Amino acid sequence: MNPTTTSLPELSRGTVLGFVPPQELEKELSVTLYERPGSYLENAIIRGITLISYSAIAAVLLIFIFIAKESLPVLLQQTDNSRSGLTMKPEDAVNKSPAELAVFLQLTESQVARLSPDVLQQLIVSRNEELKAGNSPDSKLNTTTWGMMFLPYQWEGYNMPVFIWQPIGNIEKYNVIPLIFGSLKITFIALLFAMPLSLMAATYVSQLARPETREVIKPFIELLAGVPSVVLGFLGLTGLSVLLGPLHIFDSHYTPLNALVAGMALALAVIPVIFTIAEDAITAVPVTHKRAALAIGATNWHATMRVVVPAAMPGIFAAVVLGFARAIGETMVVLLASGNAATLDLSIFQSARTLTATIAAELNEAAQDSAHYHILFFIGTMLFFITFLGNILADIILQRLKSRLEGSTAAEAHRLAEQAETQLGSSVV
Amino acid sequence: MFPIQSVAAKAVVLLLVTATGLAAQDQNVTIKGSDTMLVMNQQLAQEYMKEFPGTNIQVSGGGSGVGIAALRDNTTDIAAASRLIKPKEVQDFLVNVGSEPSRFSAALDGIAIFVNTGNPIQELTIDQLGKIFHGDYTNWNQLGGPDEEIDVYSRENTSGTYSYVKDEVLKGADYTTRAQTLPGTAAVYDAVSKDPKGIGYGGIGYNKGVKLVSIKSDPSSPSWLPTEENVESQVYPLSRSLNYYLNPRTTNQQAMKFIQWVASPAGQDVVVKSGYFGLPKVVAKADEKTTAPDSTSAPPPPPARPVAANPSQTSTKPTSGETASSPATAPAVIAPTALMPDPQLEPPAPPPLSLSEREARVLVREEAVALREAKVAEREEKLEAELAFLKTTKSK
Repeated sequence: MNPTTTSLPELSRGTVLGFVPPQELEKELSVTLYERPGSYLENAIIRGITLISYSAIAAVLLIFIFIAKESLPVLLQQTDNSRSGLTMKPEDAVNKSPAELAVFLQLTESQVARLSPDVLQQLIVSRNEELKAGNSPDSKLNTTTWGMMFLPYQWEGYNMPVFIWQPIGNIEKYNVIPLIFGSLKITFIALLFAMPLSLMAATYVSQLARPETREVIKPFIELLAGVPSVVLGFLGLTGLSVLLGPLHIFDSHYTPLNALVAGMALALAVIPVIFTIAEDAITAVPVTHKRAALAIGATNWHATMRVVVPAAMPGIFAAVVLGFARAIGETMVVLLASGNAATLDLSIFQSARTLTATIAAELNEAAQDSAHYHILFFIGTMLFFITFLGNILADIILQRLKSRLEGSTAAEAHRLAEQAETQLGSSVV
Repeated sequence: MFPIQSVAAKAVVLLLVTATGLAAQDQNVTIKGSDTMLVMNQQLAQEYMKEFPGTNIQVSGGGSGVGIAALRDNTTDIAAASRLIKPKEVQDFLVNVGSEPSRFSAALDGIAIFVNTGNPIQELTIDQLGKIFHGDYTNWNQLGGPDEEIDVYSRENTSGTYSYVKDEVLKGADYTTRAQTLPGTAAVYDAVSKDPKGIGYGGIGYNKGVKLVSIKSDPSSPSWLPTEENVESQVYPLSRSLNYYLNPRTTNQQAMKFIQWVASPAGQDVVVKSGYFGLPKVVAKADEKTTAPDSTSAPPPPPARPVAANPSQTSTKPTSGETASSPATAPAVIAPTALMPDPQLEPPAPPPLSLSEREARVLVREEAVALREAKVAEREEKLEAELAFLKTTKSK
């Protein structure tokens, strides 16, 4: 008699949780499971799918390499937009060596060699015009250094050091602090709205609602995920900003398009993300947990809040982290609804400019290989790292929470509870 | 018999395909660039296609810089730009293409400064405006208005209008960090029409639902509204020209024809209908100095037109004092169909080359060699085909 066939029914009681990996089955039953080898085609398909899955890693790497490559001049501090006021005479096109010309025109020597003296003269004229220092002492500064990008500076015409992002103009000001601040401010507001709403909805739909109600509510919330973000942004721009207008009594600086409007519109984009994952996590908590709680006299509310939701905490946490990533990466909503003023104002009734909106608005106008262009890619790299670090951090915390909640003792208790339940069930029958 | 027919058929099909392809290519013109000019360009294209059936003009926006970048990449025939080309972009062109794109004025635009209809402010000086946009004035009562905070609305910094106001009004200073930047001229008009405390700027073509403010250069001078007359005569301090840049590599006759048509009375009618102002009929103060040779064909110039002493954009362009003496090289009166780069904004250039001449200049050596090689290859291919054909007929 084959031992597997006899012991499988025994086991089926314990597989309420779902799929048990074959390795564990083998260990538990101390047998070797026989797996029918797949056909050649099947194996080929499996191999193909595996390859495609791995290509996701390659895609992420390639994207990162692309962004990092474009931001390299900033990362290595090779960009220099200071204007010395030093110019070159157009006649020098023939006198100077290609090397000198290349340095002056910011080209490579091979490029210079290719150009005719006529074109070179025109280039020198144009470059002179570009290098013509204004009467401001700031024009002699290189505004793309780390210090200029992250620390305040007292520009001409200001009476104290300030953080300013104004990349177009005589003096290009590239301080990214207001943008980081704006991104965090709007993300924080969005999560402030989205987190409680979506988590409450998830708990309700998963545990408290009657099945008919659930069937109505769930698809509707998930439908929100399908609304294009540009529509949500427009909603913020035309709807929310008018609706929230009366709030101006709280702030004399109130602007109709502000971080609150953008945050609320953004919350609409974030809610379905958090809701879907959190709802899955809560539903995945074994129903035995809840039944056990109910059996010892807990109310539905108690069982949900004290047993089910805590057990689903890792999943809920993952949902919030993904919501954060969505919020900080969202572009269209903030571009339309936030007012895009790069301020460092703490008030939620002031507009804010985010990292993503800045890239979206400015990248297509930034001349290729200009300092502005490289700095926008540098912002992209920063965004990449913010989400990357967020995800890694979340993963670490998730693993800890998981091991604490589903540690060996908990699993043991779970097994015992299940055994008791099945025995109880069979004795009643 | 059969192979001959098939070859003949092939040849005919090939001929047809190339002929229609060439024809279609020639009838297609793409215009890309300034969002300010987008509506005007669309209307111009529509009217042009109505007048010349079979032509196809594709218009898209994205911003002046986007248009110029597309021109450099050879993906558009004409770039629309509400500002002048920047030195960096010129260098880009010189390095990659070998020549600068030529500029043609299509229309004049007044940058309107506007407030909410409920705002009692009537007129402002450039200096006051600069202080508002810089954030020195934060309350309307500092300007004689009600005791309310000023909400400054601005365009995205990629906009040509943004740069224009930064140069001409702010004199290079920064916008206040509290200025809200909106993604389009229409959005600025809309926001100010809803916000009683708001002030904004934008092309006059979108004027709707707001109150325009009269502008004066200094406190003692008279103030001007951006009306057609004031902009065309350039007494309005904030006026600029809207430009087309023609791709120096294009061999598309239709693109040039379109630009010429825009400068013609028919085209200028559409320009005016779309809310912008036509090009001035009097190009320079030539009335007393020289009599234009072709003034008889043109409508007589209005008698006393104030002439701008300082076309604002000249400051951003190197002019070698030639602007004043432009009548010497440029005819004083634009004949209705004649077309020339705006002499007030650019040193007078020799009259536009004919397209064949232009083409001949653009063709650099490599291109010529490549063309020749392609032709040789084509001939060889033809010979081979013939040979193969002869072989098959022989074997039969």
